[in-house]
Amino acid sequence: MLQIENLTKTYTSGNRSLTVLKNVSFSVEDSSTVAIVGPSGSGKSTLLGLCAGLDQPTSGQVVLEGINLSILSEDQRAEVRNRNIGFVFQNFQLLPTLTAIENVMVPAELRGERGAYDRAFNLLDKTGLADRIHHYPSQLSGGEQQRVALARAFINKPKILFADEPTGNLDDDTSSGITDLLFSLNRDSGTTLILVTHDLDLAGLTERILRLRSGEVISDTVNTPSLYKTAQKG
Amino acid sequence: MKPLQMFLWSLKMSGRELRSNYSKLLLFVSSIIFGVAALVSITSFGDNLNMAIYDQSKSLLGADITLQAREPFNEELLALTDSLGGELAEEVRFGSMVFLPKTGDSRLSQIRAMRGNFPFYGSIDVEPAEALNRYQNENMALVDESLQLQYNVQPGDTIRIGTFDYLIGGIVRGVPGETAAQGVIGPRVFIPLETVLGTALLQRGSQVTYLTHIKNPEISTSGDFRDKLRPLLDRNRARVETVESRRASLGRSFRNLTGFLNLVGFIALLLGGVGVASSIHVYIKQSKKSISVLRCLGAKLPAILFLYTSLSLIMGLTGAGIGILLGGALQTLIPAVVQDFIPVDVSSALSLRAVIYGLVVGLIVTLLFVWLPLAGIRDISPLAAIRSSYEPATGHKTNLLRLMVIVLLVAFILTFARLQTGSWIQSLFFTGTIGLTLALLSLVAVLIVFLIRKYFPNGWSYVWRQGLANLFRPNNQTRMLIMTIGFGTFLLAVLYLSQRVLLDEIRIFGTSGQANTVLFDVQSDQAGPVSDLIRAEGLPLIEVTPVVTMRIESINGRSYQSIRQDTTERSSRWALQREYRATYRDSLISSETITAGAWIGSYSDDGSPVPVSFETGIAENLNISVGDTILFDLQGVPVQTEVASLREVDWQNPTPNFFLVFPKGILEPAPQFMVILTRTDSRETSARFQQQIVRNYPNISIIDLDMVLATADSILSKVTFVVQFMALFSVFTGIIVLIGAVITSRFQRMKESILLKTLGASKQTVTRIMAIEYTLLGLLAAFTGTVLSVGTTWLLAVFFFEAPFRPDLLPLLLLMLIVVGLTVGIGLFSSRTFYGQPALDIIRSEEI
Ligand SMILES: Nc1ncnc2c1ncn2[C@@H]1O[C@H](COP(=O)(O)OP(=O)(O)OP(=O)(O)O)[C@@H](O)[C@H]1O
Ligand SMILES: [Mg+2]
Repeated sequence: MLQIENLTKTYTSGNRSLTVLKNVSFSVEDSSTVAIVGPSGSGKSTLLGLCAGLDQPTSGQVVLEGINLSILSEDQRAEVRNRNIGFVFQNFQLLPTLTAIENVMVPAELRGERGAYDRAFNLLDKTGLADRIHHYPSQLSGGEQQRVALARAFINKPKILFADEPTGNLDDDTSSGITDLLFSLNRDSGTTLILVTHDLDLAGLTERILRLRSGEVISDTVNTPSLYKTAQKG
Repeated sequence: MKPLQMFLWSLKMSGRELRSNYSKLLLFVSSIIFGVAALVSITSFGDNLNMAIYDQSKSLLGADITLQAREPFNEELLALTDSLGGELAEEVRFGSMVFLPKTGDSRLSQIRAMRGNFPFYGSIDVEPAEALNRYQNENMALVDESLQLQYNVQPGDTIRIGTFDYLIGGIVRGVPGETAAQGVIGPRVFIPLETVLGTALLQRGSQVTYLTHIKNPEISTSGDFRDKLRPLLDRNRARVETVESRRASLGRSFRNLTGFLNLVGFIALLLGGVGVASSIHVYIKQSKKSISVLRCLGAKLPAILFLYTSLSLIMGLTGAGIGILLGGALQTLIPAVVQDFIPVDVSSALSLRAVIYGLVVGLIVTLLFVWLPLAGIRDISPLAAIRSSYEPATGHKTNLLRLMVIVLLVAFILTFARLQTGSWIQSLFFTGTIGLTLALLSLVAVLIVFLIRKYFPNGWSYVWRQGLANLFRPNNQTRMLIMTIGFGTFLLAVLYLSQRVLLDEIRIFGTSGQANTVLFDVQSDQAGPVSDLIRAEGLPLIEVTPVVTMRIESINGRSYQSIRQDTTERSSRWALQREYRATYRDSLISSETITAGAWIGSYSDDGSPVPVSFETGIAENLNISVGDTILFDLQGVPVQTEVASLREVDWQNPTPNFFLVFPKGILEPAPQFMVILTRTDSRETSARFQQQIVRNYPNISIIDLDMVLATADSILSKVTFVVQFMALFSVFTGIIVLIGAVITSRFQRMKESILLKTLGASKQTVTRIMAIEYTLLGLLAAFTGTVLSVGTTWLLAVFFFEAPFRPDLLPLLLLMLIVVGLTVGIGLFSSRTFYGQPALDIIRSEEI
């Protein structure tokens, strides 16, 4: 369960201030899927960053699984992220010095866990990369890199998965493959999915769509996931 | 994560990081290699030297106890000698001209007239060896190797000392406890004591030292042995040396030497540290994305700091390890380089202490310098993973962590310098100079970059604009390169210039168009005939100055012994006990200025104290001022004087200068000798003239200033070679840092070069752009370093050497040229692989 209350984010540089988010409030039930859509610069990434505790809001608060992120230190938030959150980024963000499987294992290793290798291998197997596990990111295509990123996002069995434009850097065919994978992994593990995108087709796959404009939520609608579109595309 | 888990995790991650970036990271830390090598080699050498001094300490003195006095031993000293028992050897040591009939040359030498089996420990290295056992019985001479080198004398030749001809029995290659350099300054000639006793060579007024060497291992000379003897020795103006005292004084002076060399090596290490910091800074910048992703995934700040620290530690360990190996190899060479200056045989085993020392200091320096940029990791926000266009706003807050690291760094340098120099003041000076020089260099770099940006020559050709722009590209290493290359140049230039200053100071005598030959110990009755001889040879008689020797008996009625007893300071003790060589005249000379009292030029013997003039420095040492009365012992005759004036003396002035000057009217009848100055213009005239003097007046010593200068030059350049050798480590470090910097920015450059090539630029154009950039870098660094070195040497000359400073520009220009050439050469060489790389690799490369 993720609760957002009166979230406001203002950037000040010099004597100018820019309010990027204004009094945003909503909450997300466990295991549901939500898309945040809006034009470029409307504050989507900022909102996502705040929800995941990557940054501190100017006012308001984020309560994630009953933990109020606003009162935690950066290192405490890092701990919360590690235990509860998975990430998928637009530009994959794999660590270049690590092989595919090592990239997947990182969140587990950060918890000090052993035996992460088997889980990582299973996840990579599911994403169809079983024969590429010892390759470095630079030896993988964009789509393959994003699959590794997906595997990494699920290794710690997160409660919530944040995805910021997961298909933004990929061509249509590769995108739909990644999209299918994302949703199927999500379904299998019962994770809450919060998806940021300006791709309305992609947003159409979620149960709920939040529209942002100029830092404000202008609509919050329930959606019937249109599996049909993905099926047609794939 | 628990600390242990964090440790294991960071080790695992370091391993992975190393796997793909090993050569790059190794290059970063390799800047410490030469610094560590310098420290290890010097420390190991110092340890070996200490051990050798300890092991060979008996042969350093050659005896258990040596007593020495400036006069033949009196009853009391003879009684003391007897009481110390054991086996005795006598020696009379004095300076005298030696004449070599084979070549017609003469040379002022140090004569050692020996009786007995000295040295008792160790042995004089003579060729052929049996000559050592024969020379005393067969009236032969053993002559210094330097005479052989200079005049090609051989065993079997004749050498004349005074009026006595000796057969040369052997060549002295080494004397235990003495250095080869000593023999170059005054060649040592060993002869039997019987042949000089009672001759004119030992008459009053000449500088003679009487020594008795005692072999008696039963007597314990440690502890307060010397203190107990002191009153007796003081009373007789004698000195005692024991194995312990010789060992201690040697140890002290070599600790100073190795301490100094260690500091020069440490500078190389610090420069390497600057290089490490800068490379790691760029590396962290390039890893920024990875760091923010790690933080997104839940890595805490300490874990990431830990990761990069252990990474640096592993690399630092590797760098230090290579440095230790290199240092171990180097230290086998050091004894050969410095053997002329050390009185013992030093082994070249690598000391364990040096290894540990190099490792610890190398790691500390790596860690401290790595932590400077690491402190910035704190500012890398996890947000950067989802957004790259915005720098986090926290970037400019004062970073407490970094401040702490800087404080630690300064404290470490201060402590290290304190350990090497043994003084906080010197340590502060050392740290301050380095800090100031580096600060100035970095200021110049910032200023230049600022100016180039501000007044960018838009009208210049493409190649020039591109080359200039490279100096302020993002992630540029301009400042760091100017700092390291500039500092290396600075060090070399300061060493070179200081050596020149010291030599110039000596050279003034030789080149002032005046005297270059000084005749000492000319007896008063010889002054006339010698002057005539000089004129007859067609040489100028530049000056004839009388010299009278005397000692202080009492000051203001207090005997010198009683003053000595409660004087703790060494220098004043020396001033009290020394023999004063005074002159008398009716006026001041050009090198003198009165600073207190009034100059009195004549004295009528009316029983009042004689008004004398003291040099200010010696007056300070004696703690006397105008009006004080001093009783001198003028070779047995008491002379009551009063300080009438104090004089400032310009010692650089090539006239004989004196601590003590008497007025005319009292010393004329006293036993005295003359100092005569003349000038010879060719080697032939000089040799002929010296030959005449030596033949007719064997007691007269001739100092050939040209030869003194040449000798000083050769010795000084050997000393500076050692120091420059150490300074060279800084230059090597600069080279490595340069290579590191080029490689660090390699991918950025490759991208550009390929872009340029795609846009139609030829390989030549790309090379020219880089050549311009490196030329500018090298020029800026070398120029700034040189200018700073001129300033620093000027300060040293004025305040430390107290000598005039006229920098010679040509060698400095040459140095600058070499530095620039090296910079361009290495820069282009390290960039050469850019060309061959296929474009695809670079576009795919994650490091862009
Ligand atoms: N550090 C910052 N300082 C000032 N303004 C910022 C900062 N970070 C973001 N902004 C501003 O906040 C606004 C929202 O940015 P954000 O990245 O959240 O937009 P977005 O909706 O994700 O856009 P896009 O679809 O292009 O990714 C933008 O107008 C941006 O200019
Ligand atoms: Mg965005």
